[in-house]
Amino acid sequence: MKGGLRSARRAGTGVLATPYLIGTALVVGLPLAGTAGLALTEYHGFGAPVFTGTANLRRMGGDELLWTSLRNSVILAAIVVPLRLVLSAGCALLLTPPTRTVRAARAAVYLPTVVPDAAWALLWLWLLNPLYGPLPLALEGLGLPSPGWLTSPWGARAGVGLMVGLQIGESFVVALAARQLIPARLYEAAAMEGAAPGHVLRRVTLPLLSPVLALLALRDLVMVLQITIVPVLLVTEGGPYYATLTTPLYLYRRAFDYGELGYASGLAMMLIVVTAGAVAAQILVLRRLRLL
Amino acid sequence: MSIVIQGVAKTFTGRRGTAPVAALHPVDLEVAETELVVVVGPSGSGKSTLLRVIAGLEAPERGTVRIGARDVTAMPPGARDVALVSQEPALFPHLRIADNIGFGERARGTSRDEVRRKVTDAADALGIGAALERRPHELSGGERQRVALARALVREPAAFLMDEPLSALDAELRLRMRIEIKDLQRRLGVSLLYVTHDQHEALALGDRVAVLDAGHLLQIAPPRELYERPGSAFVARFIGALPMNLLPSGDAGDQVLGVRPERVRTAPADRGRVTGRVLTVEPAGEGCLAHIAVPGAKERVLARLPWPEAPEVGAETGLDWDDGDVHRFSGADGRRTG
Repeated sequence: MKGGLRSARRAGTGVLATPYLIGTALVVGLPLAGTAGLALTEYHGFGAPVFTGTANLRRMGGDELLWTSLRNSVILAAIVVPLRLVLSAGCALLLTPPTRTVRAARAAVYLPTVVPDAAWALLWLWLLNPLYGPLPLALEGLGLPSPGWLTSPWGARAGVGLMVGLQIGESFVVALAARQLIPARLYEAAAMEGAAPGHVLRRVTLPLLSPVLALLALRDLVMVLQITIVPVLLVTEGGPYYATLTTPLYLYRRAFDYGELGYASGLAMMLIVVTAGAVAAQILVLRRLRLL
Repeated sequence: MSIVIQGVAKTFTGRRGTAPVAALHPVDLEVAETELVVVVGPSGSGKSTLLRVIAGLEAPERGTVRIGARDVTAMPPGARDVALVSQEPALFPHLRIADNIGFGERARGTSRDEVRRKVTDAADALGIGAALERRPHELSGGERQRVALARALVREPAAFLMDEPLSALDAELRLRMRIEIKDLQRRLGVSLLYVTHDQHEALALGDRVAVLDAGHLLQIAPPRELYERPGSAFVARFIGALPMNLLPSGDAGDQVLGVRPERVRTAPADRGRVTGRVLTVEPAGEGCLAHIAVPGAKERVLARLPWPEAPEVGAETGLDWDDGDVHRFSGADGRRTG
């Protein structure tokens, strides 16, 4: 009886999953297979792809720009992933008590995520402009040195990091929900014991949030490695001196500026492998720390 | 140390559009040093609110709370030196049992070795010494409640507060832990304010029992006195295994006469003090419980009878009792009049 119920439920799950499986096959599986096939060819969009075997792979080994772009992507991930984590968790914890001001502030934290990427990029072009941008002017007003936001390699990386790091709407909502799932009676118990706020944060809140925060970190890593393209395309154009040329942007250029669709497909496959490797490494570390 | 609360009142302001709810009308209550006082009342009577005000988790609108000689009304919960054990033990799911018990000691900066010694002592006293390395989800409900008790014990508080600590446990375990809690309180010689909705538990545990209804403290007395001389019709019906029978009396019907079901006898139909028709007879172990419809009474009259006296269902029967078993209450406000 119980077994019958279970298999019926499993069958029901299968039926419900079918549309998603079909959709995944069509919009992920097919293009992926196509890309994998093109990765083994030379193809410029005209005529038929010419099979070249591992030629694209051998070319990657000597492609200086590719290595620069991978380095840039890793640097950007190292800036953006922790920044997003700290900001989303910090905002979630600060904005937990549901007063009217807090509700407004929650909307404000979410807002940058709703702004279209192109508009967000234009906004930062203005904010970071070395001549009249409010951020450099404010730093100057405070007597602080400006990192040369869009003009020096590290200044440009910092600028892109801020742009990507502040669009934390979804992470924030997830962290806020996780925080609200922690029962109030645990905090009351801590209050009864006279625990200081820092102690409660370290011993109660962060440990209970950590599985969710770990998942957010994984997702952000994938996001930074795979899709940081709009800000570097529109704001820094990969510069200065290729300092913000991320791998996705390099791939995009190879494909659509140079029309090397075969080589770009190879780059895309390589990026998938690199991302999977990075995620696997992160999972190992999180497991070791018992966070996942 | 003693717990003294004076004139404590609390109103919960409703959400927009709803009226504020008075949870506590000014309440005075004193728990003497080494005394165990039980606050009992139906759900929504304000008993948990009372406890939370003493613990410092709710701020009273008016009134003062004192623990020993200290006025703690304005103090945060952690500074009051009281321990609270609630119905759902508030254990930290990610911490080992040892760290749960020692949480407060670590928070207060006690040294690691000292904490370990205290935790082991408290856990052994409650019979959970073997569970120290485990995590809360690996324990049964009863064991989890023992962990909460151990955490309360470890800090050697000035007073204990317990909010229905046993109501999530099954009947047998509840009975056993009730005895353990009383023993513990005796042994430590500490004052304990215990909240429950279960009048059995209240009578069994309390040196004195306070009856709370709709935010009013109706009566506070030793268990026997509460049963034998209830101060109002509400207390008479709330305290006792069966609610007291209430019958209108007096020439103008302005009085209420009460008699406990255990004190009612049957009599021939023409010779009882009242006569009624038997509705049902429930077997109740060594005797039975007869439900009798008496003309003029709002509720059916209950009679706890030995089997030989059990009446026929549907028959007319007289009911009798001794003069000494009669309680009299005012018909207007339910107060005891004699």
